Amino acid sequence: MSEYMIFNLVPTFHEAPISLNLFLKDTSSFLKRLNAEQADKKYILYPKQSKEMKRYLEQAEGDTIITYLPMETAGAFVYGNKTAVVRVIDGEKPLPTGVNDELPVFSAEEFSDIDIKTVIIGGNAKKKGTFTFSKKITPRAILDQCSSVKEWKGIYFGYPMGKMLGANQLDEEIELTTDYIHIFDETDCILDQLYKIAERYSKESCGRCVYGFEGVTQINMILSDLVMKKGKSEDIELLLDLCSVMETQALCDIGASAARTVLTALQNFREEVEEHVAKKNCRAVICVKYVTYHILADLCTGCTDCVDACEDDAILGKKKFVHVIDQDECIQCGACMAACEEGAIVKAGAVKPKTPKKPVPCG
Amino acid sequence: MKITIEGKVIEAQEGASVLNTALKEGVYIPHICKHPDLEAIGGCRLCMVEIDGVEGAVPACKTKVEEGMVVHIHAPQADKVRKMAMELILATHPAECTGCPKYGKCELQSLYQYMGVGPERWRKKSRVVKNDDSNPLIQHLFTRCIRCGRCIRACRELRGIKVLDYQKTSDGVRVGIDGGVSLREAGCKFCGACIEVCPTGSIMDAFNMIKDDRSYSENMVPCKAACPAHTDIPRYIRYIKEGEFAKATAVIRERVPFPDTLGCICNHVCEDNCKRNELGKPISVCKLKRAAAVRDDGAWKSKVKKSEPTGKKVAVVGGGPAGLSAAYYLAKKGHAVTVFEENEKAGGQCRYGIPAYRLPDEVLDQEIADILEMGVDLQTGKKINAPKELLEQGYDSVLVSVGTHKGTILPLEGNQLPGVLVNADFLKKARLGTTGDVGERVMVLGGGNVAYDCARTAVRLGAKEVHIACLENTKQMTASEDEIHEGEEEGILLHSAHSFLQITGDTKVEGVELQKVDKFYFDENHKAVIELVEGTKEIIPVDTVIFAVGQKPAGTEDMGLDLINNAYIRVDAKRQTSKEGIFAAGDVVTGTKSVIAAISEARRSAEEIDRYLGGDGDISEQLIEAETPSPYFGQCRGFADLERKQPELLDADIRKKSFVLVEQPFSEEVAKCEASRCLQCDQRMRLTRPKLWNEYGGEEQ
Repeated sequence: MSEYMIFNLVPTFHEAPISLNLFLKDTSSFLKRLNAEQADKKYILYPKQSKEMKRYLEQAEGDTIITYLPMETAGAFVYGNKTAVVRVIDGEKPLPTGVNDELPVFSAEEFSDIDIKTVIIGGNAKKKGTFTFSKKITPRAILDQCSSVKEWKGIYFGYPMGKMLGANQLDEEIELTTDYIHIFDETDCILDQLYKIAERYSKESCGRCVYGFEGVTQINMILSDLVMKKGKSEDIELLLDLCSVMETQALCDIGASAARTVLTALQNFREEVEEHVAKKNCRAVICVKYVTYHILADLCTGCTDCVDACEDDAILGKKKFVHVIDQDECIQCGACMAACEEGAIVKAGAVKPKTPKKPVPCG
Repeated sequence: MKITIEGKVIEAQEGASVLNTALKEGVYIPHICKHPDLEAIGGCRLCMVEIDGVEGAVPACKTKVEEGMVVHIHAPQADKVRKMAMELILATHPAECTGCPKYGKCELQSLYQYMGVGPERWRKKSRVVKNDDSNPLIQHLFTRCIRCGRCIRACRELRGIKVLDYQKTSDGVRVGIDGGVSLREAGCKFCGACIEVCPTGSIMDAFNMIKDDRSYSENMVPCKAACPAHTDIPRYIRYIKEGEFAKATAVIRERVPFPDTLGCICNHVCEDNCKRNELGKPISVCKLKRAAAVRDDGAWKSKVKKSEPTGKKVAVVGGGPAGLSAAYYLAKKGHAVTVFEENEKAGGQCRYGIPAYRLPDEVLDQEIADILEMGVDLQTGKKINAPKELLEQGYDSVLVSVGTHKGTILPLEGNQLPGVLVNADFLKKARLGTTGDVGERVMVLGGGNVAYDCARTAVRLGAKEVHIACLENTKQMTASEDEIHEGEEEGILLHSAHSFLQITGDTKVEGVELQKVDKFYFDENHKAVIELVEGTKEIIPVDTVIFAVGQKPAGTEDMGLDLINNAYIRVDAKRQTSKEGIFAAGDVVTGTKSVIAAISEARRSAEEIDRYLGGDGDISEQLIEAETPSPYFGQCRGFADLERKQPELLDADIRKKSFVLVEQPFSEEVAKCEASRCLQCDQRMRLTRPKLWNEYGGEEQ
């Protein structure tokens, strides 16, 4: 009989409270099975702010066998690491000391011991929300279910998988362990998305190991430079060098997963990322530093709405004259585009539309 | 078992890590997050090694030895991981080392110099955290932190105080205190373990705690350093905390043979230097000493070692605390020691200078008896005028420790009138019960503890109205706060910052004329400057005037020894006087100091005399088996605010009528409670200092 057993309902992704929902959906059956387990002490960890959980606890009474421990978080990656979770019962913060799947820590899903995995799909999926899949599955089977809004580009499997896959891996079987999947379509820039994921990891990093913490810090700074058009050609190799070491040398799976995400993104979408540096081009026209705004002469009615919307006085022109954006003054905020009712303002990447150099009469 | 590291076959303990095994055998593997006293976490990735048959590089700190294991430190994969880890650490660490107070003592600096790497290929950006010097004793300079986590593990796991932890901030994770509260609010015990284990200059002693003229250990344990006899204060206070009073007494006795006496009357400079002053009031060291001494069971006696007789004879002239202490240590070294005491009883100032209500005879008698038990021959009522003659009588060495028993009378008009007394005579007569009538009204001149001794004695002898007048204001007065306070309770009228102009009266003392002092200070030539307030002259009518303005040695001018200021015996560095074989110690050399200073000097002269007589001069002793205190302190909310315990005093009305001891020893519970306030500064010294790479005897460097 083990000394203790922890039943963990705190999600890794606050967007995807899979185990919490599973538990709330069928509390009595979970508790029945939990009570049947042999352990001196049993704990249930849950996110403190969960209203449903609060409601449940208010009506649940006389349950002295189980200690309910509220956690001050809506979700965090560390709750996916068992070495981190066990520390909580000693009043310590959930900080990973490594990876050890033998510890008596179970999510509601693990406790059910079923062959299906529930995930939440977000991003540019046509159908978003909760899905259940077989644990062993191909990305294509997933994509068949959710499909993408526009033309599909990639699929990202969140922590602890940390994989960003493209068309070449669609039919390779994977083991689904994450709670969160993100779909990219042609309107997404992989570099921009990777940077956002890296930012998320920098908030999730516990700070306990050099590769996990300093590694994620470097990933962030390098990706930030690339996004901000300050990247260097050797940056991609530098990231690959860092992440290949980091994947095995981070103390826990959070750092490893961060590294793997970067590695797979660079392997599968290297061209798209590299274009930012080599051709100063963001093919999805997303990274603002690579984007310019232009007013198309044949659509502009000279209404001055865009001139009024521009806070930087970067738009030249007067009534009945085709407006022109002064690219030296423009900060690519996109306010003009939102203000134009004619659809005359467009974003452009490397290929720029032909526009007048200075305001000319409309028509 | 045997393992091979870098081609060297090494004996390894089962269960040990590769890192510890290598370091123990003098083979250096770089590392920084591992500290000898803390558990390994494997976070820094500097101790990477490759092992035959194992894929990739592994951290040596987290790898257990196995029979026949072949370990390579400088192998390609291990080197790559190690170097990159160091580069990453340096990329966010401030680049400038020279301005850092840890320069030259920094483990990180030493390591990167050893590894020869820099952060050049990475994005360099230090995470600036505002320096925090708002806490007492400890300053936080977290811009330099490398997140090795040693301070956190020391605070949480080793000490169990659980104040420091990783904190998530918008600028990333850093070391800090939950809730952003102060160390005091968080329940910090200010043990300094975090400072000690920090490899960089991120957690340091507060600026005012480190004095350049003191050694490391003196800075760390200032109470012990300040004690003239260097009593191991934190050690005995720890025993008191545990209720082990006899053990505590043994610790005190390792340095002084008068624990109970000192517990009554020590001037406790240790308390002035106690680090807890930074948090509030110091530990009540002196009173804790007494609490221990009164509960002694004498177990220490079984540990006392006495050397074989040396056949040498030593005469000690003067049986005060200095003479008796020296006699004790010399007797232990096997010399035949005779103490010649002029008075009826031994004890010196302790008996004839300090009133019985502060130090009763019984206490002194018991401790002197313990000394005599060591085989010291005490001859009372024997005045020695010429120490030289003792050498001629066959003594191999003589120690003069006659103290300062001649009171000083100031050149003041009326100072010869009947009714004018002087501190030393007065107090001695009071002890002997031969003072006679002091009249209704008494004026004591002087602002030190002796003035209070005289005044409070006068109260007990029946004086109705007792005054003290002194030049110093209450802040300048050398009398202790307790004395002033207790004197006030007993009705003593203090005229601080008053000059005495004359003693009035024709045939006997009738009064003292006082005038208010505006300013009293010493100029650059150390000359006293007194500025008086005009029109404030007044005459206080009194029957008796007691001078308590200092004491000098009596009779030294006829001893045939070189003197300083015609009174104090001149000694050399070896405590020997101008006459070979004659040594001197205590107040007669140093001028009026303290009992603890006299004992400390007695120890020094005993060492020198022993050496002079052919001994090794080692009088150190161990009266209790060395024990390793637990490094685990545990949590205590409000630790920094725990208040200093006050001893119980007899009611002022009762104590005014007798010479019964005023102050009651702490009860066991109160003593334990007071002792638990101790910061245990010495425990920090028990932490292992990690060796730097250049301290390993290595062919590899």
